[in-house]
Amino acid sequence: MAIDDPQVQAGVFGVALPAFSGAIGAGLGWLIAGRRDKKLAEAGSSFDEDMKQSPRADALLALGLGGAFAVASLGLFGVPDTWPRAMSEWMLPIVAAGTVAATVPGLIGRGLPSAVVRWLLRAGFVAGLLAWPLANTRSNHWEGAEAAAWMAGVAAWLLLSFAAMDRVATRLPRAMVCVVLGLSVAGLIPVVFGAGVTAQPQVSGGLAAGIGVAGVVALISRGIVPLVGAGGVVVAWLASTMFVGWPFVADMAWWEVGLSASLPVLAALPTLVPGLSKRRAAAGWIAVALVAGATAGVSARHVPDLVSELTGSGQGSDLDDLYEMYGS
Amino acid sequence: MQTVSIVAAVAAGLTAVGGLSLDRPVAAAESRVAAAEYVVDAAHSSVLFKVDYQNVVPFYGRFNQVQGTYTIDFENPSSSAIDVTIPTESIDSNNAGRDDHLRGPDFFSAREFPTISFVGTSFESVDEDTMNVEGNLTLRGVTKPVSVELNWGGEGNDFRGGTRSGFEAVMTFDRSDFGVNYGVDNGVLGDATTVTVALTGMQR
Repeated sequence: MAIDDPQVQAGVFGVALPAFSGAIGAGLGWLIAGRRDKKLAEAGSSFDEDMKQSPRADALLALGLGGAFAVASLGLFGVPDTWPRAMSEWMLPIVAAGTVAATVPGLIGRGLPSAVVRWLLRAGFVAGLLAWPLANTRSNHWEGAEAAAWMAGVAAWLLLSFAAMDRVATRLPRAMVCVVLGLSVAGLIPVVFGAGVTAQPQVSGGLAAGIGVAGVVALISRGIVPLVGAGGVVVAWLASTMFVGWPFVADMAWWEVGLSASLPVLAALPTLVPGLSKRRAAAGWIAVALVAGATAGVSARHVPDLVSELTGSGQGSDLDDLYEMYGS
Repeated sequence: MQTVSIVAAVAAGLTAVGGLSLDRPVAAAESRVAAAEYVVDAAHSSVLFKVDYQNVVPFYGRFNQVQGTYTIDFENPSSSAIDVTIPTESIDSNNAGRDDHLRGPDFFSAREFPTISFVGTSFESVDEDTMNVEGNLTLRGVTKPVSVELNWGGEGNDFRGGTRSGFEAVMTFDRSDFGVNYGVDNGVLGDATTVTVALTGMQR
């Protein structure tokens, strides 16, 4: 279906359909979580138990979020007809691969096998990132030991981010986890836009919409919908965002890259504080505050320009507004 | 008379600064070409691009740097060669903000793909001044064949010594074929892109 009006197209593919995808994922997850999960919830089970008992719900929610990003990307920019070369072309494949790594473990079973598969897939995801999307950066900017150091650093950051997000997803209240995930995505949109990348913010809006609606569905549902897979999708999205915005490709400042990349660890910090580890609500509020503070820190100065561009408040066309922003 | 002399002197001074001399002009263009290799003189070469803006007007921009070598032989076209590289960062659209955007991931992604290159692969003489050139254009990491019409300007003695030659070449391609598709779908910017290259070089 062709949509001629760009604003309608942005609304349909950037918000409505991604939100629908998130809702479907969460809704199916809730249905499949089933009566057993409801009993567990009523019995006050721990979140670790939730995760063990509801792997399919977790997988479907992750699939819904990956679908939200895919719908936004394909709807707004079309189906890629070539193997990606530029980092901006790698965004969808990165999130798609992250979605697979987040979804498959929940579909194959529970317990240790699922965890082993999850980390094997994540390791494969990291290796794939180093091999393909980062190939240009490696050849253009890094040499010898420097290349090895960067690759090791990126791999360590990704694995640490996965582990941190697992902790967030299993130790904080669901509402707080949804807010952390949604805020992580939506909060970084202005800084990426300010870096001169317009594609990533547009499709990221779709992911944020998906998380928002999925979170609402997950919260109002009586079944348990864990969020480990959703956290994995957000980490994959964060990787694509950092790689397309960092100074090797675009214009994010290094401190903006560092603070943005630390969001999963920041969100997990409260779960590591002995006094807070058992006070989930308090830990959740602190995690939300840390993520909100970090995203505000990197994005605040870019918000007026983003709003100006979105509303066309300049005197000329949208592109003129954009160039006025870059020139300022 | 004195006024005329002053004007002539000023004109001579200005043109000399620009790289030309009224006293010793570059030799008149000659169509006959020896198969010599020339190194591109970036200071006196131009690379312009044209793309439609909102389907109402062509927009022109340029690249301020170009480097490479060429050998053009009309008598034996198969011995011709062109290898030209344009640093992507040198794009200039007369708007600093737009230049940043053009260098960024939406367009050329200059930090990922620092150069645009054209390498001639086959050459065919059309007449004594015109040659059709097939070659590989590499843009944003994508290499595709494009056709170029080359109009030879001639060769002759440079006023500083040595031998200088030059030509103008025009190619048209769809930028979306190279992944540069920003603004195509919504009609803000055209897809068809015309690049005009006016190169002059010094014989090696």
